Amino acid sequence: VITMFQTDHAVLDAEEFSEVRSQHDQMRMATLNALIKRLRSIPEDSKEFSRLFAHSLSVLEVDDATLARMFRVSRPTIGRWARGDSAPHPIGRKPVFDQLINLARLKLKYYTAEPRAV
Amino acid sequence: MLTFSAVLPDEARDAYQWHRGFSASKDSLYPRSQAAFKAVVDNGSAWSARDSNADYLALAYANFDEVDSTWELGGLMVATSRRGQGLGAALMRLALGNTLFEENPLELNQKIVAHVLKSNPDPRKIIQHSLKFRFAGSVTIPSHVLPGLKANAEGFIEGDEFHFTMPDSLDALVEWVNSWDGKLRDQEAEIILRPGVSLKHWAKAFGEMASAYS
Repeated sequence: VITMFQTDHAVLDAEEFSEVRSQHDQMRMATLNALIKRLRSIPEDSKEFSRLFAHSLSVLEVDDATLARMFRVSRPTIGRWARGDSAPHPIGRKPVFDQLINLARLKLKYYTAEPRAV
Repeated sequence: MLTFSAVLPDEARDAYQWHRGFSASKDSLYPRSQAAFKAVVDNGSAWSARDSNADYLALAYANFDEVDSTWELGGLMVATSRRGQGLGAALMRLALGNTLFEENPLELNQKIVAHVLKSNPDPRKIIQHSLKFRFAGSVTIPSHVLPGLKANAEGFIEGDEFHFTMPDSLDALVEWVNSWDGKLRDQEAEIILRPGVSLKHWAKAFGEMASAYS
């Protein structure tokens, strides 16, 4: 039995699909690891905080409602942080990034856990 | 055990039921619709005090007006049976402190204000004495804008506006945070902030804000 997978660009057989997925996973893991590394430095500058915060939302693929629940703040607060309209006091930034690091680690576990469902 | 915490969106419905029951008996409190109340919870930062059964004892909020670039503290409700126990003052301080810590409005030169009806003496002591907000002037609003509130004979709602003032309001908040010992008038009380953040963080941050001002 040959299982075919439709992608944006081509039709792949199972072996090719597995390889593409593996490459994709490697890239995701590298991106998540790079994010964790960046989140370990706490920017003093509010605009830099917001840039990194917005980048994290994008990499972690998490919406503002989820983060609002996680941080126990309002959704508009999450939006203002991401847009650079406001930022928590510098003393409150490390706990934000610590939580984001935890979330990134959880996402990493998905890629490192074996076996994985297709 | 008392618990002070932000009202999460999932909790908006229960908080609204309490608000509705409370505002029905008070013509000094604006009775919001469920949708409008949910918007306050979703878009603002509503804070609650609850007892060990998770029943609501008090509510308040801090809401940002993007047009005026102003934060408003308000919506204070305290269960009649729990008046005079410091719940309202604690809740308003937490709504204010949370705004200062999470949004840094002082750095952004954003105003923080509170409005009180002329006919409502209840929150004035908290706003003027506990928060050290200063009277800034009177305001008049047509009653159709805020239906349900007590209007004068001409159909206007009369109120007073108070402003957060530096350094008095910040000093008062720092003093309260530093003196917090986990009790409110001898009753055990827990304050739930953002994960990883404690009142010690608040005290340090507010101290830095006060230093920057001076």
